[in-house]
Amino acid sequence: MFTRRQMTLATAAGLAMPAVVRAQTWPSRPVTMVVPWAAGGGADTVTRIFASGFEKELGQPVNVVNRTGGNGVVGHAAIATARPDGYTLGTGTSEFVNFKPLGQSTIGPDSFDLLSRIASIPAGVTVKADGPWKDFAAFVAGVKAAPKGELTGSGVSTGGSWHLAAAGMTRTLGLGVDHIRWVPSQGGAPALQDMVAGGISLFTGSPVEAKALVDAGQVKVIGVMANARMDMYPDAPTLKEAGVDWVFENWFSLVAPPRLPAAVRTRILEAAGKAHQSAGVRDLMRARGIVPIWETPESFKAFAASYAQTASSLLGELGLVRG
Amino acid sequence: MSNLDSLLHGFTVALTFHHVLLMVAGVLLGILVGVLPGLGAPNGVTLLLPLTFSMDPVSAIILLTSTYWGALFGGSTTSILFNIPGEPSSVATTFDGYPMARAGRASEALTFAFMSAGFGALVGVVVITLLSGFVTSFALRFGPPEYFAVYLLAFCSFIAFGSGAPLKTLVSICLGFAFGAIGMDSVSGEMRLTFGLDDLIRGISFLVVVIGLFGIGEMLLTLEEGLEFRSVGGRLNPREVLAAIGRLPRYWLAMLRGSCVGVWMGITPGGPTAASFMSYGIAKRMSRRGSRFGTGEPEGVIAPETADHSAGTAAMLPMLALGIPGSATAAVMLGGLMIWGLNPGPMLFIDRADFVWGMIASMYLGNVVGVILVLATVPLFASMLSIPFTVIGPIIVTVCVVGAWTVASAPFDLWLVVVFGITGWGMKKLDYPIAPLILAMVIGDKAEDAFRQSMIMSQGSLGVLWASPLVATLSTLAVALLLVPVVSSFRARRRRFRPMEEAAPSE
Repeated sequence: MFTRRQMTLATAAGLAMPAVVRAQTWPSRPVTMVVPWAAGGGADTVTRIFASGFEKELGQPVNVVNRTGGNGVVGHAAIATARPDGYTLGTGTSEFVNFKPLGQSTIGPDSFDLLSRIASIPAGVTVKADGPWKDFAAFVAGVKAAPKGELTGSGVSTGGSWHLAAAGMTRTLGLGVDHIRWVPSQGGAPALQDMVAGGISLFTGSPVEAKALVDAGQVKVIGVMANARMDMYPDAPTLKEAGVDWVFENWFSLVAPPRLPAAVRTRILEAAGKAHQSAGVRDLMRARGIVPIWETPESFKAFAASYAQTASSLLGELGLVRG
Repeated sequence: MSNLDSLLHGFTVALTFHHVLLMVAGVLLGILVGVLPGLGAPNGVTLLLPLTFSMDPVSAIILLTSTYWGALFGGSTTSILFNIPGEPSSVATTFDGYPMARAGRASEALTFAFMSAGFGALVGVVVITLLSGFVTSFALRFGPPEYFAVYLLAFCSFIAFGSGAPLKTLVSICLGFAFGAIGMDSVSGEMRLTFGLDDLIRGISFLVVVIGLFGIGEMLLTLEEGLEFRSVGGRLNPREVLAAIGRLPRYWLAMLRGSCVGVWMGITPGGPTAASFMSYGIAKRMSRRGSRFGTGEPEGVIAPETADHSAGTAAMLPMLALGIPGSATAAVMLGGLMIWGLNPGPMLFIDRADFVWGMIASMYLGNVVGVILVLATVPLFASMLSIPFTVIGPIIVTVCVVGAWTVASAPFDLWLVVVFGITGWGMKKLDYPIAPLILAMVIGDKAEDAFRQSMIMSQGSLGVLWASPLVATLSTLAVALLLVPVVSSFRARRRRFRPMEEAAPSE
């Protein structure tokens, strides 16, 4: 227990200490991780698993705070404008790359200190179990034969990540980006429900979200847009295997407000990297169909730039770019 | 009846000292969360979620569901006592609950609310237990057109309200739609009515509006009228609670009707808030005492409460069996399931039967525990009404402001509460009804999304609303409900003007 006198001394010392010295003592209090999406969703699950390992490395609690709203704009803005002292970090999701092209916010990759991707969840091709296509090859033939706009896809709001997954897939097939008519939805679960109810032809969201309905025999996953097959669906080929050179993953990353003190930044990268390597974090992610990723800030920056290019070209062809 | 065997097995899982203790703790926490406006059941469950990560899944779900029941009970308390709904789904309870409290019948209103809520919940669980297979297949038939038809039906069944000038009601509805439209439009991704303000991007929370219009608005009215709650019931006799329970069976029809509406809205899944409004509207139309609704009619408390709870309970089944959450709280719990390493789906019923049936059994027990706990608190809560206004008034204002803060931790929301408080006071002074505004705000936004999704699916044809027997029935029923009052008033008018019309041809 501290006595009051000791506390006063400590506070005085803290105030007197130059920033560099304070940085070396980071973290001396709990760290907050802001998630721009609701509790229980993909980004939230990834963050909570990562935070459980991160707080062990830091020796300080890591509080996960959900700041939702405006398609992620609210939470991402909260991270970007937080004090760059290392006590507020956040989970940046692929959406932040598209805010500017979509005219939703001025926040973009430049608004953050991009540290590393934490994980990714691949897109998939999920269709009704009793639908017309038995496998991915039959699906491709069906899509090519169908006139533009006859088939419908869903999984996220217009211009959201899974919409881009569908648009990129049809573009790779040599068709228009709007060949599959997009029906916006409030997330994976309602989109899957709409598909089973009969209004939607395919779901390009995460196959992990479709697990319950796959088990129920209502839907089937006929392809995944990843580099390797998913453990959860060993029979579903990657699009690459099936001859369609298209990979699309929704990603989650560790980001900080720009201009962190250098010492704090080094410490964060070191602790986060160690936490990410731990079996606890990796196994928990894999068990949920999440692919763990850890990289250097430089390679994340390069990835974000190339993702932004692909995304903005798709959004441009979809006619969704504003401003 | 293998379901019954499984249920009995579930009771052996749920009926341990540890689990009963968790139920009591959950219900008490839930009541606290429910009583505070703004801090609703979804928030309460979200706050507890991280605590459950280290627990075993059965204990975790028992704690979370019990919190949910507690919050549903607690939400009605402030609706009745102070005209401040603690939960969105208890807005409809204020319509008759608050007039009852003002007439000195607070204990009676609370008892009716709690007992009928408990009854609704039990009906919900019984349906889950007996009809799990049928219920899950039903939920899968709902796409955007069906959702739109359900919202339209909820709207139409409530809106032909009768009381108040039609033009003023229309103004309220339009204001509600406009407030609901603020923020990002999820269909096109565009910003609407944000006026370049970053604070409006996430939209105006329905809770903030409720806290302002009801909570602060009511405070201002009371201040104006002389610093005290009128007609405070001084009698705080526990026997009143028992007497009220004795009178409850008289309202069996209202309770049954409310439960049916609730169960249906829970599994479809339209959600508890829409269910409570719809049930109130239907009860007002079908009851013999319908004309007295809004003035302190017990049926007006019972109808929304039974529907609210049975919808809340029934919504758990589509979540467990299909991963489709029927309410905001169920959506948070769905996230919990994933984190505990459980995958919702039919396999869950086979692989983790102890979990599923333990949870269902705990829903029976949790609601019984809940009813007993809240009934015990009735005299306590009712006695709050005899505290002088100079003490309770500032407390309520503080609670309102804290509640508004918890919605999104945004200072902007506090200003909104003040603005809506003054608006609420103005609306009451000028006789603009508040309920249609709230209903339009809650259902309008969802209905709009569903309608536009349907239109994209059908490429602009309204025929999609009559495309299958299910959706056609819903749409036709909704239109019929909307037209009945118009037609009947038209007829009445014709009858009145008949002499003049007959006179005309003779000229």
